[in-house]
Amino acid sequence: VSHTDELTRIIDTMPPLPEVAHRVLQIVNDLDFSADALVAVIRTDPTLTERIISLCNSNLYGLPRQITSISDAVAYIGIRSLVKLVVVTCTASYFRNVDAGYSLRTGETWKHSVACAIGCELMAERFGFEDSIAAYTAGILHNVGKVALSQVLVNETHAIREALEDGSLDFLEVERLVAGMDHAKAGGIITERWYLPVDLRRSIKNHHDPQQVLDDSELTALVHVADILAIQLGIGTGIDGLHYPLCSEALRKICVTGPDLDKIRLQVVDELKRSSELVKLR
Amino acid sequence: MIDPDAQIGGLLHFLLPDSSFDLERSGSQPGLFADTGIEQLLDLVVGRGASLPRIQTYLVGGADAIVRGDLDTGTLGALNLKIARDILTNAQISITGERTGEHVSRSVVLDMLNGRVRVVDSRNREDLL
Repeated sequence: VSHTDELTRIIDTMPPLPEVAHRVLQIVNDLDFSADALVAVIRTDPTLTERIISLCNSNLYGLPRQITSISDAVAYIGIRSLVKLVVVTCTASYFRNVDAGYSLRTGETWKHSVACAIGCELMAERFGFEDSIAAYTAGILHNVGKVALSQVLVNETHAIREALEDGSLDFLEVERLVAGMDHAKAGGIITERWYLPVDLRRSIKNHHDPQQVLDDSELTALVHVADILAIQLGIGTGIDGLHYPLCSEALRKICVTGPDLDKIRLQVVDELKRSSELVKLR
Repeated sequence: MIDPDAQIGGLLHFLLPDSSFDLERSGSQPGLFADTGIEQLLDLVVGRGASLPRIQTYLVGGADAIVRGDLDTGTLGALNLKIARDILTNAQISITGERTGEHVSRSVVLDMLNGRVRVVDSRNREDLL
C-alpha cells in the first residue's frame, strides 16, 4: 500500500466534526448571529455543556462565582469566548496522537494550535479583521492535516532526516516526498469533508502557501503569520524545526510591521500562559 | 556564559532583540530581551564571583523560517543574533563557540562542572562545544 493510499484511508476514517460544533460554526459564520440560537444549540449536547461550564469555573477566567448554565457563561465570559470554548472542546481530541510523527512531546502540537489561535485572534483585533471567531478557529485547526500525516511520518523518521539533510527542502516538500502529501493539503481535504465555511478551509489548506489566495483571503494571511510566530517562539517545533516558508506578502497583506510583531509575540506568550486550562485539554 | 574555573555561569533564553518598545517588561522580565537579558546575566555571574577575563560565552539559536520575498522587518533569528553579538562586542566579551542560524530548533545544556555546552538540534545532530 502506498503512503498516499494509506493517507486517503486515514482521512476517510477520521471521525467527523461533532454535530454541535458543526452547527455552532455554521451559526457564527453569519456575523449577525443570534446568541439565543447559539445557546440553544450548545444545550443540545449535555457532555459539551458540562465541559464548558467546568472550564468557565476553572482558573481560566477567575470568575467571582460558580456558574451553572450556558446562559450564565454568556453573561460572564461573553459570546465570543463561549464559541472559542466550543471550538477547543470539540477539537482537542483530534490532536491526541499527532505528536510522535513530528518527534514532539505529548501535547505540543495542540499547544502550538492554541498559540496560533491566540496569535490569529490578537492580529485580527489589531488589524481590523472583523471575524475574530473565524480567525481563532482557523488557528486551532490549521494543523489538522498533521493528524493524518503523523500516522505515516511516525515510521519515517530516518527518511525525514535524510530529506532535510542538504537543507534545500522545506518541510511541506519533505512531507510530499516521504508521505505523498503535505499536511496543509490533508487539512484542506479533512475540512472539506467537515463542510467548514469556505474561507476557513482555504486558510487551512493554504496556510503555508498564502500567496495563492492572498487577494481575497485575509484570514489565510493571518493564519500564516500566526503559525510562523508560534514556530519562531519554539512552540510545537519538532523534527520539522523552522523549515517552513515565511511569505513577506502575507505580512504586507495584514499591514504588520516589525515592532507590531514583537508586541504580538509577547502577547502570545502571556496569553498562552493564561490559557493553560485549554492547553491541557485532550 | 560561564567562568569554568569558578564554576559560575548561567543560561539566558531570550525571545526578542530589543526591549525599547516595552520598558515596563524590560524592567520586570529583562530576560525576555537580548539587550537587557545579556546585561542582567553578565551582572549576575560577575556579581557571584565570575572573572570577566575568564568568562566563556556561547551563542546557540537564532534559527528562522525560510523567507520568501523581501522582508522589510528582517527575520527574528538574524536580529536576535546581531544584537547579541553587538552587545557582547561592546562589552569586549569574545564568543567562545556557537551553533546558530539555519532552520533547526535547538536545545542546549550547560555543564556547570566543566563549562562544556551540549547542543542537540531538531535533526538530532549533537555537538559538544
